[in-house]
Amino acid sequence: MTRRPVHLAVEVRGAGAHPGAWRAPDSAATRLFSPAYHLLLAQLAHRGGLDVLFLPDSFVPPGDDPGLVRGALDAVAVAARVAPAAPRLGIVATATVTHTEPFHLSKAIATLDFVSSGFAGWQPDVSRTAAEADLFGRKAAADAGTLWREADEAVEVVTALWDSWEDDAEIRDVATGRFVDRDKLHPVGFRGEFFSVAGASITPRPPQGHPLVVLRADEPEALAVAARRADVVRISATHVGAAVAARTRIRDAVAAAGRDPDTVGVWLDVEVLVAPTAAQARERLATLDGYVRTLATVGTAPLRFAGTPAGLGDLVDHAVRSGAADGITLVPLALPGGLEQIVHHAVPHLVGRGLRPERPHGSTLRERLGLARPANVFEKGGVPA
Amino acid sequence: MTARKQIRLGAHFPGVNNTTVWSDPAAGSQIAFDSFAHFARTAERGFFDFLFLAEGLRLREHRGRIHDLDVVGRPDTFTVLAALAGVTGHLGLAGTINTTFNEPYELARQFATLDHLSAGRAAWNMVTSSDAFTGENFRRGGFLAREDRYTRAREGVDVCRRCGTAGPTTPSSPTAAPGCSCATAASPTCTTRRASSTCTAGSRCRAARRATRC
Amino acid sequence: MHGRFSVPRSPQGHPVLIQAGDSAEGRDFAAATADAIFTLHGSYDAGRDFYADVKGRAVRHGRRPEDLLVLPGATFVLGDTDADAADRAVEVRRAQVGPQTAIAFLEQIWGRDLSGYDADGPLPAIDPDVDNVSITRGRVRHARDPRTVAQEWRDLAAAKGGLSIRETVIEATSRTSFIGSARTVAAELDRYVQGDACDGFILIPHLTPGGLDAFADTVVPELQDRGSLRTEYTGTTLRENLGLRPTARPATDTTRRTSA
Ligand SMILES: Cc1cc2nc3c(=O)[nH]c(=O)nc-3n(C[C@H](O)[C@H](O)[C@H](O)COP(=O)(O)O)c2cc1C
Repeated sequence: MTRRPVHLAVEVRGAGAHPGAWRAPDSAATRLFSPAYHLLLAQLAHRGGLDVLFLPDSFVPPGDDPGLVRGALDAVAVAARVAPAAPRLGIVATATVTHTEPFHLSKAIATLDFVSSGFAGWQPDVSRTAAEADLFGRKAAADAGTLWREADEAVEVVTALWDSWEDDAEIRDVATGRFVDRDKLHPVGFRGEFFSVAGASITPRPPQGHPLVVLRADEPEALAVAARRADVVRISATHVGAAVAARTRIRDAVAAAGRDPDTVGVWLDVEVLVAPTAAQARERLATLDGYVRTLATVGTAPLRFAGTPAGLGDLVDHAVRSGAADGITLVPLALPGGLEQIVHHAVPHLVGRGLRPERPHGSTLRERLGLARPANVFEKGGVPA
Repeated sequence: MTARKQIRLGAHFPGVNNTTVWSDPAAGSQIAFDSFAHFARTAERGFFDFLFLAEGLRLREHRGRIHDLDVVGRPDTFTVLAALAGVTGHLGLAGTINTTFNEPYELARQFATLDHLSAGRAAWNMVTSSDAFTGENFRRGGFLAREDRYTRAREGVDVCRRCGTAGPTTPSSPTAAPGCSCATAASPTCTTRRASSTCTAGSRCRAARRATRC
Repeated sequence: MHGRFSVPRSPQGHPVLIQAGDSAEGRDFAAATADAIFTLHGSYDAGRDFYADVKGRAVRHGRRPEDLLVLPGATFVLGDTDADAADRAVEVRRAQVGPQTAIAFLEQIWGRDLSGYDADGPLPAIDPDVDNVSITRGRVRHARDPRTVAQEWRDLAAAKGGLSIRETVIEATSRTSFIGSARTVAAELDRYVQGDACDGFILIPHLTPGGLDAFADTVVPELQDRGSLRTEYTGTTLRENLGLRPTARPATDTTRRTSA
């Protein structure tokens, strides 16, 4: 059996995924909003040759719990800020679709693809709460079914806007005075249940054609959207067995949507804390736990690993061999130290075991992941799906 | 001796009108990031106050077809300015952002983010243009009459100002003892009931008077 | 809308606010709210009038005149000598208004398909179609009666000895431009600023991305020699560099800081 390479990503959340992480003496709690902190994380991910850096985001306003890190910057802007300093690192920013304008989203992600020279991606998400709806005052919070129907439209129209310029629309023909061939610019003319968008994008087609589209399929309502539209599907599972079941479900849904499941990677989240010895890792985790009064878990508790680089290598190997994942998203429990451990110790170990390439290849993120450059739906008289 | 009046300089990135000469052999890409980086670095070398990006949210049409004689195509303003923050150190980053086709809360957050990411160099050129033609690209649709446009613009700025000065405080000390508060008291709540925030296509406005509490 | 904001106070509190819009409402909005106005009032005299108008409005809103900067948009063409620059400026204008562009400008005024006309020939004898104002969409339009504009263009063409369509458009659509050697351009820009026609400029080069290179290399040192432009950035924020007053910090926040 020939194995496909394991794709490796990291998601950075605030001071770390652990709610007590900001209290650690080596955390960057006072610098979470400074450009230097985000640069540090991106450059670490870059040095580690990771495929993707995930930057999560939401409009959820800060809650009342004084023991939690409050607030976050706009992820697309953070992605753009760090991209020039981390060439050939895939950068995937979350941008929600419930209260935002598809037209703005489309050009923002396209522009991220330009500033990262073809290494951008987008993780659409929905805004579920009344608190978020109140920040916009335009509509009420909706149920998951409605939210994901709208998300489906949003991804469709954002993608159509990327295609609204054919790749060779810009001609600069001095003889006729024409800068573009307007037959290669297409108004999207989208009318859906939730909104309509008339014109073509104001931004040319981005380097990858379509920046990578990543969706979470933890919610059943999101599965159909992911099956139709995702290049990569992210999952969270409590154990490897559950991930195997989830991946099978997703591959079936992808096939049912008329796509080849081998072109849609399923990436599993693993919260990590890596240390030189297992005892040190356990001790470190206990310290983090001790910073927090009550450890509440929201939703599915994700797979969590605290141990040595070799132990993490075993987990990754096991997950891939058992068909739980095509890629792993490491979510450091504490930053920036947790990412340093991954880059300096865990990644070299994975390379040593042949689970990661010595030098990541590919001149765009899609190429890196073995994905084709998407055809343009408007070319040769095509119409959007 | 009184100090001599100092000249303020903005550098307008060549735009999508006929001022920009694309037929010159020296003319480069209007969309590649390198073009923006070169332009920004030159402005900073020349001690300009800020770089300036214009914006139009629908491709121009002439006689029912896309106008093809001038430069066509531009990046997203916030995204390219955030990237430029990384290749400059002093230059202001001014973006033209429409007050009609953006939501105040989102704008406030985007500008606050840009200001953090550039260490205090963000500027907003507030434009109110709102023809129905452009509106067709947006959920809001339609357009606003001039008075309503400026009412909405005022509200947008208001939200930006209030939010910008009222967000949560960053943790004061990362080594605070367990159980200690990360941030100070709850961040202030902004309530803005806006006359024009409920405008829908065709500019039907709820007549509610604006009430702002912060 | 209501709710909590999720970003801590940024270095400037809020962005520097610039306003572009020329109606009475627009000027008033700027006078009450903005830190700078971006305007197209380019000539020295029109600039002085506009400057006095909006600074007066700012004062009526309880602000200081220097709290609102007036920044007209301006193009420029440089040369080794003034004559050299003038020659170049003619070339630039011809590049900006090619034959197809000249006809497109004409169609905007006339509201008709004029693609059959020769850009090197005379203006059309027919009158504008005043009902067809939406021939161009998606750009800022300054509403004037097309018949008035058409008459002005005809008068212009005649007065200059029978200009062609393209020559007429080149003349009629040219905006304030600073043309000359670096020294001449620096002196002229400075004259506007010192004479209160404006506080500075938003410069619009015609080339991407190198259109500012020569300006930075040659005009900037001249302006510095005149003592009118910084030789280093002294502020830490844009607001400081522009010489604007800091944004107010809400009282609650100050209390928190002192108790922290
Ligand atoms: C110098 C100047 C620059 C402008 N730039 C833009 C721009 O980049 N994008 C845009 O949508 N509108 C732009 N506008 C349009 C204004 O925002 C405004 O919509 C227009 O001037 C009409 O407003 P008014 O009725 O107050 O004059 C500009 C206006 C002026 C005067």
